Amino acid sequence: MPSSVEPSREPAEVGVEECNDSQEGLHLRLQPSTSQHLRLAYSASSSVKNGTPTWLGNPMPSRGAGGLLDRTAQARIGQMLRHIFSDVAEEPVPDRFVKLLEALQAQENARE
Amino acid sequence: MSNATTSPSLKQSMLSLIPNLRAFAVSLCGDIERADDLVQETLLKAWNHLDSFQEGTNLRAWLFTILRNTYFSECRRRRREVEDRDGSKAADLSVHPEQPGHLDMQDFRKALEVLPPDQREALVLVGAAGFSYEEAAEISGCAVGTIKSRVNRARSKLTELLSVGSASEYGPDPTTEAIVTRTVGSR
Repeated sequence: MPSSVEPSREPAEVGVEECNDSQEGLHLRLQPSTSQHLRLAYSASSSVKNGTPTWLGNPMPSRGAGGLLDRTAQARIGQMLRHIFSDVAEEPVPDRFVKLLEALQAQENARE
Repeated sequence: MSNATTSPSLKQSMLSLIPNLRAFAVSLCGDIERADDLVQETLLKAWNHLDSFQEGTNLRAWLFTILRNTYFSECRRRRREVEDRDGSKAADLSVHPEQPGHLDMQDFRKALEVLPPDQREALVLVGAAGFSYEEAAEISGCAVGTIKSRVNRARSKLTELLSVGSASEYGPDPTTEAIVTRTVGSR
């Protein structure tokens, strides 16, 4: 588990062992460091297992539970948000930006 | 002039913050190419106004501010140009997903795009980029209370979009999974 994406907040109950047979459908932009997270997200998406409905990977909280539904939902939303963010944040700086900054620097040097 | 020689460490910091800026931009606009254009514009503006940045203050927050201002003025321009944009996005939501492995993240991304931009921004700043409510308020140029209420509204909207209705909508087979996912669109 990569350390950069708040791994401690990954819920233990999301079934990592369910991932092995299911990576083929995974077309998201994967990096080695984030694939584990996406696999977690994937396994979370195989939502109907053993006839038990799930919501974003967890057993569906009863609507009547109110607070529970809310907390589960909030935790999932937080995880998904961080996935989306860290997916990109962990990518190396694209060349175009390195070159851009170099060009700006060269321009500045030329002015001096 | 003060910006004739900008400090190398500041430039180094700018470079090191690019991944964060890209992540913020993608979360805001949902599209990596548009995000990279936003980042480029942000870097150019930042470079040209480095003299207005006070060293020692939060460079990340400063760059995020430039990026979001760029994004929102672009949004305003686009809104004037394309009135149907929200309508077409709402239609996208009910599209039947063809890649089962995609479902979860795809739906979340779509749901995120449906949020009003100011709510999405607040949610991303606080929930993903790790800014405090106070910092997020400063970046967005609004009151702390406004950020809090935007975050709350964003969260309840996402919960509403992503939760499925009653348990009776479920079936035992994988096909049903796709149908369940479509309820994201119908709410």
